[in-house]
Amino acid sequence: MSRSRRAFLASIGAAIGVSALGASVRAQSLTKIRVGTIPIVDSAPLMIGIAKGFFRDEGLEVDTTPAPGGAALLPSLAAGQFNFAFANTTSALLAIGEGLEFKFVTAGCSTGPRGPDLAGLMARVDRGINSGKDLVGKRLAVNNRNNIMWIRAAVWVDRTGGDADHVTFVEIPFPQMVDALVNNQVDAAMVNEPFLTVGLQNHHDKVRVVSWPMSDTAPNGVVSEYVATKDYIEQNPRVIEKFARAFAHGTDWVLKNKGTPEWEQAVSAYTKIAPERLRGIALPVYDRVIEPQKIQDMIELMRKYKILKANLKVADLIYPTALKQYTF
Amino acid sequence: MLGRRSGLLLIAILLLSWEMTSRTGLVTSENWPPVSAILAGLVHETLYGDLVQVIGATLSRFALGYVIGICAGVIVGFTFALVPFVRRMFEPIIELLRPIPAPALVPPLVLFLGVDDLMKVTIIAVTAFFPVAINTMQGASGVEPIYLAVARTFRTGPTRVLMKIIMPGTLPYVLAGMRISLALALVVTVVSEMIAGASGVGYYLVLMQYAVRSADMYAAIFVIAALGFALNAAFLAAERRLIFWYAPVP
Repeated sequence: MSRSRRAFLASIGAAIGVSALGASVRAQSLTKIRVGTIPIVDSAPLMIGIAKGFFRDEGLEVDTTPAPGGAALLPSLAAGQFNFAFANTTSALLAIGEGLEFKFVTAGCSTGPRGPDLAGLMARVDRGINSGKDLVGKRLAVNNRNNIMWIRAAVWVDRTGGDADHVTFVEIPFPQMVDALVNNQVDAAMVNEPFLTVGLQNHHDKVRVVSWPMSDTAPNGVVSEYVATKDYIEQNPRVIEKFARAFAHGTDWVLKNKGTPEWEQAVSAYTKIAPERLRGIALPVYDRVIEPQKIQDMIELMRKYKILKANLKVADLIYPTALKQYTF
Repeated sequence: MLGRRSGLLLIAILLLSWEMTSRTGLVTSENWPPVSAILAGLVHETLYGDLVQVIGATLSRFALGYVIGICAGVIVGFTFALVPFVRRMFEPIIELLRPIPAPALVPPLVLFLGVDDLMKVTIIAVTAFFPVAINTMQGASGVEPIYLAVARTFRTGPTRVLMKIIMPGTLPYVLAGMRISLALALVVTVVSEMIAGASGVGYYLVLMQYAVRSADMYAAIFVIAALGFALNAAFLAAERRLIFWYAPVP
């Protein structure tokens, strides 16, 4: 081989070597984080943000662990299995009240000013259930007790002439709620989307939506956030900032593209819900920031319903990244 | 009509009535899709979806946990039978742990072992361990005394007694325990996947349920049933060859 050719090949080899090294260095410089999520429409900002590379742009490699249900997420977060977790406000505050040191690091979702919103109270048409008064002594299905669905339903019962203490709350998973309602195993059910729309389509002659407890009792009320442990935040403040910025970018994209075919494809990809089913379902309101007053309202509500004993201070619970506005 | 085929015929009749009740609207529910839709979903998800990879993940976890569990079970079973002091010390704790159902064990294990394979393989191994350990112990303790007496007459060394008398005598019991463990371990694999972590048939099942794709959910259930059936049949065939001389009391 001639000298010049050898030199040429050597320089090519060097170039490949340096770029490979550079690529591996770049790959190694991505911080790995683990986020516990639930594969529902509410987690679109996170999941779509990851798919679009917003987190990678901030130097974060996100490993999402979708949980079949939210119940496993908060204990796993406390045990350090996750760095961040998606949680409904009520469950997160309950955990904090029990002594687990979580803080809210980004906003999640809220309900809108009025229905239809992300969960409705359904009942059979022939049962004459129109208000909380009609539910006294009856059975009301919720997916979990002591979470946001339960508390909003209880408040609605109390405000419409009933007494939540005299309603039997039955735990039934969302996919089975409409079946239980149609078969008279429960008298009413707090059904989440997309099961609400699907249930109405399948049984339009048998069931109807009586009310929208979430927006009826707390218009624009908060529903969920992302939390991290106090220790993790103190040890990794930079990571929290990067996460919050990438997440805000995801929220921004979602707010700008909600309802478009691209949005449907993106949500379908991680929820596995067929895109057609996503059309026409009520969507949550994706928040850019947390409003402290709304968290305070939830704390007071939980204390009133005696599921929270500790007098939590909102200022201690919200990390600054959750209050920061980003523009993209 | 009472031959072997009658079992298959019963299954066919049940599936047909499922199809009919769903198609005619006798049973209207999102959670009662026609069997034809389930089978179509099965084919589609196998060819174009994740189902093969999902099943592979479940089977590999199951296999690892199962093998670890039965090996531990055999070792502990023999130790208990041959060293009574060890048995006296550990039997109470084993009897206390045995009745705890797997779904109750998952949350504390998640705390210490996480939501990934380590936790799941541990719980599968623990589940597979107990039937094998107990059966092995009983089998090894219950070897026919007359064989041991004959061995004593011929002054047979302890190693030969173990290899030629105790082990073959215990084998039917060990295999029976392993077959029980097989079914339990498969169930626990799927259950642990349904509660924590994001891979395997159990997780896929829950994901399809929440994605309002019940036909695909049932497809996963059919696959699990077929897997269990096939594993059990394979085990029985292997058992017949290994202990061809064993005639259990009817």
